[in-house]
Amino acid sequence: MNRSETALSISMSISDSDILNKFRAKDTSNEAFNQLVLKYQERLYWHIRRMVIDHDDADDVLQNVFIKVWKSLDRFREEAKLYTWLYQIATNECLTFLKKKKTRYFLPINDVEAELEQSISNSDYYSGDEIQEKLQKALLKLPEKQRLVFNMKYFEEMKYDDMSEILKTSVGALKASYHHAVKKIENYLTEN
Amino acid sequence: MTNKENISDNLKETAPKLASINKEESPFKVPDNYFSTLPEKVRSKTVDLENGKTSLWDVLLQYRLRPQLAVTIIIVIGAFGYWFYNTNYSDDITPDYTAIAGNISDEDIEKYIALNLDTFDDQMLGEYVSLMNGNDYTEESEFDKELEEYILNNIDENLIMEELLL
Repeated sequence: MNRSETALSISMSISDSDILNKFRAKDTSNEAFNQLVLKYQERLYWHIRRMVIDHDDADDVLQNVFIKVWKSLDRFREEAKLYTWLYQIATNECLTFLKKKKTRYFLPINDVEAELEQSISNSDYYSGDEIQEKLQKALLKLPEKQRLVFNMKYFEEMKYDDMSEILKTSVGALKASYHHAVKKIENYLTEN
Repeated sequence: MTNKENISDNLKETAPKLASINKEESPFKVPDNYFSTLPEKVRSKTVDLENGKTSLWDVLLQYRLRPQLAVTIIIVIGAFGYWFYNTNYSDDITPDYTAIAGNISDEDIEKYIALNLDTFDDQMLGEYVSLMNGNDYTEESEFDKELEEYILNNIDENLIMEELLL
């Protein structure tokens, strides 16, 4: 096991409350923040990547997320779980990024969808087979928030209670949204 | 039954096509060593922030505010140009006549008046003299007008000329 693998393994085993306690102590705050990044970077990256599609965009958004976390972690009061708080920041950053993408180029929704589809086809960091590509295209047809709900349930297998906390939406509404998303995707996969 | 099994079983019933896709293998890839180098990249950014090294430029570009930045620069340049033009080329600049007059001798003034007498505006001179004496300048009183009219209508111009020449 190399040095970074060891650090990762330590970070994955450390509890969120230990990270927060270490962060509050001045002399261990940098170490604690590093452990937080190691512990959550992959989960947050995939959450962001599935929304923004392009790797470079996902990298930018993820780094912004961690900078925001670093700036406000000392004010985090543990009323929410650290994990859901991080997802909240990442989700907001994703939605802000996509909104800016539309306004920056004055793009209508269909053009953003087309641009994201292009990112799938042209990316060096995409290697899905035909059915996976079809699934990604079906996902891009969903409204952004429904796509978020689908990704969190289907790919990340998150509990509805946690999703409800992150998206500030009732569990019932989330279940209905996921159900509709599944139906739309199944129809797209069957018809295309 | 776990959450994972529950989702999978539900999908097999409601969306068999979707359920047949292997979701464990992500079609998205990341560059080699991306996750091993990311903490260092994030750390260097937080160190810059701690030391106050992050420039406004970095922040603006980081948040992808390029169009807003361009508009702001254009507005700033425009405002500076407007200010510069008004400061240097404004018609409102009033010379300090008192200081200029201090450098001209009475003799020079007399010479100038003698040479340019024809160009002086009588009305303007009258106004100036009245103002210098603290009086309100009135162009021409009703009495003056009536007097002028009387002279023109009742006095023989030739007779006056003759008398003047004698």
